[in-house]
Amino acid sequence: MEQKELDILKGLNNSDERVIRILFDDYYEYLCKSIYRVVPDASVAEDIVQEVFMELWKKRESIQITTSIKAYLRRSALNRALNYLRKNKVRFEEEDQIPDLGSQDAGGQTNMEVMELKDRIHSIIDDLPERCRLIFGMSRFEEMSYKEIAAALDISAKTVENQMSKALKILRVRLEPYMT
Amino acid sequence: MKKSLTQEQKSLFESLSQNDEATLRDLEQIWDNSASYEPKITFNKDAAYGKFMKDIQTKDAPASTSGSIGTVLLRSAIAIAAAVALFLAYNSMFSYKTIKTTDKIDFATLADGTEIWLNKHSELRYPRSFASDARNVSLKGEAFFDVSKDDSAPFTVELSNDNLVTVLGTSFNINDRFKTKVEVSVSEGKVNLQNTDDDQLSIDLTEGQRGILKADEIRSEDFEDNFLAWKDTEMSFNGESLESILKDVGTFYGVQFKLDNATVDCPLTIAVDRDMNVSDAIAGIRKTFSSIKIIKTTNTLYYVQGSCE
Repeated sequence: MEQKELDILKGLNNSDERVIRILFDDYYEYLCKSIYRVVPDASVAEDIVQEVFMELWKKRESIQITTSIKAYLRRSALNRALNYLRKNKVRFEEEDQIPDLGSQDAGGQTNMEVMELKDRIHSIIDDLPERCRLIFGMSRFEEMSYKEIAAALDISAKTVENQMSKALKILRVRLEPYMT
Repeated sequence: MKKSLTQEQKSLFESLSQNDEATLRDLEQIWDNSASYEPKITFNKDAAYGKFMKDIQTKDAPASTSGSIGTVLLRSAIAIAAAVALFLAYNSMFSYKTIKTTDKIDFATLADGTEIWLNKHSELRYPRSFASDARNVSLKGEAFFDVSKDDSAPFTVELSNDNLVTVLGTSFNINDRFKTKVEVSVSEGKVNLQNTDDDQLSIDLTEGQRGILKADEIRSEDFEDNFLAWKDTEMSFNGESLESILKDVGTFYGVQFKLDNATVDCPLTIAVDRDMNVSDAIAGIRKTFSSIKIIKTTNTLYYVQGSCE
């Protein structure tokens, strides 16, 4: 663990409130964005991060973190996000077919021509149908298995696989003019 | 095949590429480049920090052990009142509504009477009710604001990259679609455009001025173009140059036209309305200039070649 993280941990153990500012500065947006990739509701993401920090603060005197604070917070945030999805049975629009790849704007109205490949990809991910984007995110960024994703969203593993395949197909088709 | 992929991801790649090596390479390139993806949304860590500190100060307040029963009761009453007030404040402070558009523009009236037209592929987040001394909303994409005048509560619009627009009451258009800059066009009143990270990057704009804020530069220019084309239900052009018309038509439909030099100045008279689609508009232009070619290269990009004649 880095010295900075050790200091943060020590500050937590000593109930030093200055540590909270550092936690918010360093991890708040990162955690909100991580959650938002799985639960696309900004206020829910913010509530969850508040809960994560609150939990950390409650346990401050006894907490032991062996990996890193960042990883610990992220894991804790993700678990809460998945719980939220399960509890609330969040439903997304069914958009299972890909009939109309051509008519969608590639990356909204952003000027795709001058963008780097990476930015184009990000922009297309932003534009994926919501459920498709979440499933792609869970697999790509959270490294969840089809089974785990299926359980979180209360859908079948086959649907997860179809949505993953759909996400990659959309990305490939829309990027085709720019790939070398 | 990459080692970092899970078994499921590997089989997905295989089934999508059907053993075609070029496709597989494309997929891997897409996969790798998606690693740094972050949702395009900003979160206000300062407000969250403030809420957190208030929360723990309320909860951590030590239970009083000294004083008469009367003062204890009074203290509890004050604590409860404070907790209720705080709860109400949070409830309103954190009760946000988000509208997100895809291929249609949308319209919102806020609690203070401010009217907002949200362009396609944009997102607006605003509180259901405003505090008495501040009105904060956030925007991704493009929107036109007609802000209700309230001198005691400045209206601020948070944009990407810590950019911020502040006004008291006025109407203006914000275009934050570009990766590297934001444009604010003022149709009435006075607007401040700034980057909150760098106090050098701040400019006051008045009617007819457009502010352009980039990573390390800010400037203003006078404008005459039809920057609200996207918001209107119809547009008509009378003998204007093809270049300026296609710029507005492109904004209207969310596409882009690239012209070669020969076509830039061609004069054109045409009317388009929201019920037409972009192909209808292009067909109208082709009717006028049979010698012009408009070639669709991607879903949102058209090349225009030829001459006026």
